[in-house]
Amino acid sequence: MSAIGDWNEQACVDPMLSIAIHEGWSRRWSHAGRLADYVATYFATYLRDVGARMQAEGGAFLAYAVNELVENAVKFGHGGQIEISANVVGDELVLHVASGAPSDTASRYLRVVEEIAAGDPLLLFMERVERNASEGPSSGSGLGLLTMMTDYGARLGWRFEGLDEEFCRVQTMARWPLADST
Amino acid sequence: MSRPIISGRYALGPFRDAFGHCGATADLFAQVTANAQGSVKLPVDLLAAAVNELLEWSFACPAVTDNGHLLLEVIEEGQRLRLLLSLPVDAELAAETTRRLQPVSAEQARDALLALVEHDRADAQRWLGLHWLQAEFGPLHAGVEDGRLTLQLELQP
Repeated sequence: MSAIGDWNEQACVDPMLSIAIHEGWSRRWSHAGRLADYVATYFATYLRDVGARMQAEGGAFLAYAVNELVENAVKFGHGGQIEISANVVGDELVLHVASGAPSDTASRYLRVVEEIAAGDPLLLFMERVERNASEGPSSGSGLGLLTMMTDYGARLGWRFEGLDEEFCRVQTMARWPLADST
Repeated sequence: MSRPIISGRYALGPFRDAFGHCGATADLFAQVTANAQGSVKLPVDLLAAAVNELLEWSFACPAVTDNGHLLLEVIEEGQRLRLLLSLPVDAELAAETTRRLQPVSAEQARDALLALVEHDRADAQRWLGLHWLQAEFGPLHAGVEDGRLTLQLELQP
């Protein structure tokens, strides 16, 4: 299936950092926060050289985005491998998370991200917040993804492969501008 | 049965930008491995110490180029854990490492470590970590292929 949203295939090539938690070991919520802290700390050295503001804002973005995407991978996945990679491509910090999920679950996620990719992130964010306030918190509403876009200025992209099979591969990419924020 | 638990791939340039990457990476790998639901139960601090020692040696290792990458993996094999690290090195370092890490008995490994501790020379100090791993945990296997040095350490509860 073709990419959705702001997907950059080249950003997946030869990343600066790549971690995989393999099949059968992935259903651990605590891994999300641990990986988030680790990736943010790992890139702190690089971001410090770009500028103090970059270090603070880039670190905050990475910590939030890794935690959010790995939590999603654990929550909606089937216990398979979760891969996290991070890279600097041009003037962007690029985070990429890939995992497997039951295709019926991934299909619901696909509808959420298609709506996000086609809509205005801020309007969708307000709509989700109001809906959650009136109906109660809803898992899979996309609020975490929208927060990445509205609060951090990230651009998101997705790829879904094998949706016609029992399990499929879901990839999410979050691109954060290094240059615009300086 | 062999099952990988966690693996990492690090571009050497950024990895070598900060010494702290070694400790942070060792802690992550040890925590994820310790939380894994396999049959192997090794103390977290022991795992972290072993991973950290391998990484610290690599951090100081004069790799052929900073454009290469370092691979690190923890694999469960029955009742054992295997730590595997690979990185690009020049032929001289590859030969020296494989010469030093010939299979030896536990007693020989301890003797080699003690002999090294008694030396003050800087070139001796850089090998302390690998010899400590051999003395503490058992054989540390070294292999070279396509310009990459691979170190493998087996850990048993």
